[in-house]
Amino acid sequence: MTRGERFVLPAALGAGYFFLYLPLAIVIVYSFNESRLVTVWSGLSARWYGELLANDRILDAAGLSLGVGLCAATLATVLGTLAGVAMARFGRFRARFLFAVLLAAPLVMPEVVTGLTLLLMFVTLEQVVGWPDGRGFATLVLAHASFGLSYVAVIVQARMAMLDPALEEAAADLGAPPARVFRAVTLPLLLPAAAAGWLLAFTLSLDDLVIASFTSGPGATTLPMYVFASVRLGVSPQVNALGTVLVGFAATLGLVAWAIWRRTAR
Amino acid sequence: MTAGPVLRVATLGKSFGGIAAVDGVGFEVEAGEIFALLGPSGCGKTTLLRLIAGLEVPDSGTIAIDGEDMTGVPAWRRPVNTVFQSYALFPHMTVAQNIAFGLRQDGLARAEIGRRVDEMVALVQLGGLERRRPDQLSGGQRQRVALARSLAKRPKLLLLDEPLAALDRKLREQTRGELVRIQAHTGTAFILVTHDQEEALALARRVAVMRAGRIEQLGPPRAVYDRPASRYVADFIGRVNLLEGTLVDAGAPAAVRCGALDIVLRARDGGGAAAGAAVWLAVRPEHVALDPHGAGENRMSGTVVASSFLGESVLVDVAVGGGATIRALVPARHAVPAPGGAVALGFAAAAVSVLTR
Amino acid sequence: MNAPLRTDATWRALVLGLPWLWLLLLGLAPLGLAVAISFGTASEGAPPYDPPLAWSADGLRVAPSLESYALVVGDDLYVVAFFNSLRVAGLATLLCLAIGYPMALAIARAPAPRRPLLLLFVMLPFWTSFLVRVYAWTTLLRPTGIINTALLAAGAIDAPLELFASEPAMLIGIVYSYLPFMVLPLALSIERVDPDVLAAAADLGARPRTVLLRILVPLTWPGIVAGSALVFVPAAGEFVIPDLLGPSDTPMIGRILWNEFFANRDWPAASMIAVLLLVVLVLPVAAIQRAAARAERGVR
Repeated sequence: MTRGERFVLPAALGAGYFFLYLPLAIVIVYSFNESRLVTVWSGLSARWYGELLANDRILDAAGLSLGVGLCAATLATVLGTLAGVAMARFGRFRARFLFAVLLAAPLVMPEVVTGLTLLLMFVTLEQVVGWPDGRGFATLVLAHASFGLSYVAVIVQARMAMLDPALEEAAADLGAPPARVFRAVTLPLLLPAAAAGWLLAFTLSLDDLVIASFTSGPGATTLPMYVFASVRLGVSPQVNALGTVLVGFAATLGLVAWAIWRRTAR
Repeated sequence: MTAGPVLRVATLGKSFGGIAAVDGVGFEVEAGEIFALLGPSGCGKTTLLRLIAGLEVPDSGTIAIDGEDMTGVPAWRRPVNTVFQSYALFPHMTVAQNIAFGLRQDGLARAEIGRRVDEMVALVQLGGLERRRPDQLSGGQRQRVALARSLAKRPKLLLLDEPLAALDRKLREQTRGELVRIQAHTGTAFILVTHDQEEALALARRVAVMRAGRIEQLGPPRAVYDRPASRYVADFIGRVNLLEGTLVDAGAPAAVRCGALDIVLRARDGGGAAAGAAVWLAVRPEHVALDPHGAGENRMSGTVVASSFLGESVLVDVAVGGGATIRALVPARHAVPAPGGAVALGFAAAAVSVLTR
Repeated sequence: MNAPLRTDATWRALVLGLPWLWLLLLGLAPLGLAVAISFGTASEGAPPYDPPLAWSADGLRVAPSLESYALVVGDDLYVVAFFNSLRVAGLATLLCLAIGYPMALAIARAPAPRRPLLLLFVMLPFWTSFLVRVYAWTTLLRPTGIINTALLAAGAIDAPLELFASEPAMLIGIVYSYLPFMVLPLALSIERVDPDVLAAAADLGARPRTVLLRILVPLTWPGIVAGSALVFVPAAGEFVIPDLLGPSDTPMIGRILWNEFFANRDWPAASMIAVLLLVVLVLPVAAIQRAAARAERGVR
C-alpha cells in the first residue's frame, strides 16, 4: 500500500462527495428560509411547504406524475424482466445484437432524440390506426415505460448473472416445465432485482422533463415540467421547498431499492 | 558483497483490525538457500512474505536485506521479487513483455532487456511462447512466466507464495524439481511460503513452522520432522501418535508413565522437562512395528480397529486399551491382521519424543 | 456464456416476444420515422410536416426533400452548435474522468464491506431529481446567488462575478449531473483487477505512476470507455443544463433541436438534427464500446 492509497485517494473521494452533496444541501437548507429572498437568511420557517400544499397546479402536476410513474414503472418492470432474462439465459438467439442495442439505446441516447422520435411514432400511429388519441397520460406512460424497461433489464440481467444456472437446470431436471421453472425458481430469485428495477423506473419517470415535454399534450403538465417552467422564471423559495420534497422522496426510494438489492446480492 | 545473511527480520509485527497476523517474528535467511515458511492458512505466512516484499507496512520490527535496512522502503525500490500465488501476470502483455516489465523499470538498454528476456525464456523453457498472452497459456506455463518475470531482475532474494498450489499433483512434483534446478542455476535465495509440508520438506534447506503469527520451530526439515518442538509441529508435519503422561525419569532414555495405558514408556530424552511434569509423547506411525516384527523398548498389545491400504504401505489403527489408539504405518508387503484381530506392537525409545507443549 | 436454459420454443417465444414487439415498435420504428421525416418538408398542417412518401388520390407520392439538410449547409449555426456541443461534452467527459477516476479507485480499493455504501453515496444523487440538482447550481451561481452574495459580503469582490449563464457554469452542471455515470463503471472495472497484479508491478520496480499508467489504466480501459460513453453522448445532446446554466450566445445542438421543434414547429429540421446526432454520436460510440468489450474478452 502506497502513501497515495492511504491519504490522497480518500481525500479525493471526500472532495467528490462534497461536490456531489453541497448544492443539494443548500437547496434543502434554504427551503426552510423564512425570507422571500432566496439568498438572505431571515429565520427558520416551514411556510413554503404550506404554500406547496395550497398550490393546485403543483398538486395536479404531482398527481399526474405519480399516476404516470406507477403505470410506466409497472409496465417497464414486466417487459424489462422478460428482456433481462432473455439476455442472460437465452444464449445466442436470433438478432440478439439488435435486441441488445435497442435495449441499451435509451441508456445513452440524448433525451431530446428519444423524446422526439417517440413523439413522431405516436403521431404516426394516431394517423394510421387512430390510437393514441392525442397526447397525454397514455403517451407519457408508453414513453416512460420505454426507457424504464432498459434500466430494469440491466438490473435483472446483472442479478441473473449472479444466479447459478444449475438452479434452473435442477428444477427442470426434477420435472418442471420451463414456465413452472420460471414461476417457481427464477421469478422468486429475481423478485428483489425486479423490485429495485421498479423503484428505479418509477423514480426516473417522476424525474423526466425532456421526454415528457415531447410526448405530453396540452393540459398534461408533469411535475418536472412545472418545476422547469418555474425555474426558468427564476429562483424562488417555493421551488426550494418543492425541490427538497422531490429530492427527499427520490432519495428514500433509492435507499429502499439499495436495501432490497443488498439483502439479496450477498 | 557482504558476507552476512541476505535477509534479517527482527521482532516483526503486523496486525489487521486488532488481530495479530505476524507477531514478533525474527529469523535470518542465508545467501543461496531455500527457506520455507510452513503453516496452515491464516497463520500469517503470506502477510510475513508481503511485509518482506514491502507490500504491507509493519507495525513494529525491522527488515534488513543484505545488511541494509528496508523497513521504510516501498516495494518498488526493494531488491526482492515475488512470485504471487495467483501469478499476477499482466493480462494485457505478452510473455516477453511480462518478463521485460521489471527490467524496463530499471531503465536497462533495449538490447540488454532483449538479451535478459531470452535468457529467462531459455531458463524456464518457454521458447516459442514469447508472443502469447497469459490467457493462452497453461497453468504450468503461467507459473514459469511468473518465475521468469521475477528472476529477470536478478534479485538477491525471491519470495514465492504457494508457487505450486495451483498446479495438479503430477505437475507439482515435476515443477518442484524445476524450482530446485533454477534455484541452483541462479544462486538466488528463495523464501517459499506453503501449507504443504511435503513441499517444504522436499525443497527447503531450512523450514520455519508458523502458528498464529509466530514461528513455532525453525530448523532443517529432518530435525523438524524427527524432533518436533511441540504437539502442534508434530501434528502439522506428517502423522503422529500423541500420548499424555507424567515424566518419571528425565534421563536418557527417559521414562514416562502413560496415564490412559497405565504403563511406563521409554523415550529418547526428557525434552528439557523435570521429573513429575505433565508431558506428551510423540511417535511417528512409521516407527511403530507390528507383531511378529514388533521390537524396541516399548511393547504392548491390542486389537486392530481399522486399516487403510495406501499403496506402498498400510495404515493400521490399533486399540491398546484405556480408550487409546496407536497408528502404525507398515510396509504393504507385510501381512496385517484383519480388524478385530489381536496384535502386538512395539517401538524404540529413540523414536519417541517428549513434548512439553 | 451460461448454458441455455432447457426450454421449449413456445416458452422462448413468449419471453422474447413481448420485449421484441415493444423494442421494434417503440425503439426501432421511431428511429426509422425520424430518418423518414427528416426528408419531409415543414408545413402548416397538423402534424406540421409533409412526409417524403404518402398515399394520395393519384397514387403513391414520393417526394423526398433535402430541405432540412440544406439548412445545415446554408446556415453555419448548426455546424457551430454541433462543434460546441462536442467540445463541451468532450471537456465534461475529461473532467468527469479526472474527478471520477480517483474516486472510483478509492472506492474499489476500500475494504470490501465498505464498498457498497461508498458506491451508494455516489449513486444517490443520480436517483434524486436531475432538475433540482441543476437548479441548485443556479441558486449558487446567479449574480444574486449564494457565492456572489457571500463574496460581496466578505468584501472579496466589488461587483458580482459573471458565473451564471456562462460556459464554465454549464460545464460544472454537466460534470455534476453525469459524474455518477462515470464513477460507477470505473469502480466496477477497477474492482475486477486482481490487486496482486498491481502489487506485482510495484514488486518489479514500477513507481506508483507507472503502475497507474501502464497497468491499471490499460486493464480498466473498458470501464473508461463505458463511463465516457455514458457521459459524452447524453451530455452532447443535453438540453436542460445549457438552457438553465449555459450562455445564451453559445448555440448547443440539444437546444437547437428543442427550439426547432417547440419554437419553430419545424419537425423535419428537428428530425434531421436527431438523425445527425445519432450518426455523429451514438453509432461511433456504440462501435467503440463494442470493440472495447471485445478487447476485454480477449484479455481474459
